[in-house]
Amino acid sequence: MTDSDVDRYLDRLFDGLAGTGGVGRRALVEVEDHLRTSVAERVDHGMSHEDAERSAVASFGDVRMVARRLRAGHRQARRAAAASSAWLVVALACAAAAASVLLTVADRLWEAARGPSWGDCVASSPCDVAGETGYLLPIGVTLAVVSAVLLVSRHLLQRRARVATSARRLPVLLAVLCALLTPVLLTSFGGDPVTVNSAVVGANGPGLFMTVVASAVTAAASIAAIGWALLAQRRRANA
Amino acid sequence: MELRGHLDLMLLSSLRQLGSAHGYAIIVALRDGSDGVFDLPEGTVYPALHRLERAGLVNSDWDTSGARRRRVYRLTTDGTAALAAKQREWHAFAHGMRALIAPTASEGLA
Repeated sequence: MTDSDVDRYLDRLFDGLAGTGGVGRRALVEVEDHLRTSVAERVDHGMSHEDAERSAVASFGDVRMVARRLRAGHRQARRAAAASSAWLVVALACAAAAASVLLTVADRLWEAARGPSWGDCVASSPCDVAGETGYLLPIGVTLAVVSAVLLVSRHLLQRRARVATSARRLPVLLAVLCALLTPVLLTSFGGDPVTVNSAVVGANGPGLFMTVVASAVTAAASIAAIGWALLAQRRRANA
Repeated sequence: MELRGHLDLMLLSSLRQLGSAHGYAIIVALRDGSDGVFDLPEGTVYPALHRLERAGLVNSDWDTSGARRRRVYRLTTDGTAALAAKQREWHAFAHGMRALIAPTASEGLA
């Protein structure tokens, strides 16, 4: 039994889409549905089955061109998603850095309000509050403005279809990155997270409390992001 | 007819009119809706639909209600906004082009 024109076309498209994974499999199913529908419609209009297959394949276009466009679209979309993801990551990194710096400024001001007898002024250096907040505050504000500009401009450009959405796996990647970075940052200064935090934000001030709260929020957000991504992946697989 | 650069607008417009549709129905709507002017190679539509989906302008699901599985596309909120923006761009382009290629008064009198 010889292959029909449609079968031969699909075989050649299958070869042309090798290595494209799920994207290629989905395209093959769509193209097959299209060609079978097209053939059935032509037969309904009085064509012989052989002529209908030949005509449907010809209307669809050269198989190498179709495969090339599908592959190129796949590559372009991956690059666009990577650029969009990088844009979002930079914006979020600026927002996180801004929050960190502004929290430090708030901590220093709070400690200064407690008076000059504050015990760990050498470790967390709140003795020169004016000097420290004087250079930290502009940095924090600048980072916050840069982050806001990046997030708003990305959102506006996305609405105008100038920027792609970020990669689907980005939340999971970010969660894993945060989960890996947190212990590194907490232990790289001296090994003991409590000692490190005491040195950085003061053992008795609100800084340690804020660090613990921020860590808990980050951990909860990471777990929620991973759970959400896994659920979304399962929904797509079941669809 | 050269359709490069206009395919996205045509596909988004068709999807807005159709609501949700599979690729074959979109192609038929493009051809019939343009009185046969846009009888484009059918194979060019699927890569464009996939690109639009990755850009978040359309989404799709498998429809298994018929004899064969079919991928059904529909506009997203971002797609509707992008369509409005592309329509504005197109109208501005068409307005400028009409003004540019319209015969001048002296040509009209000659």
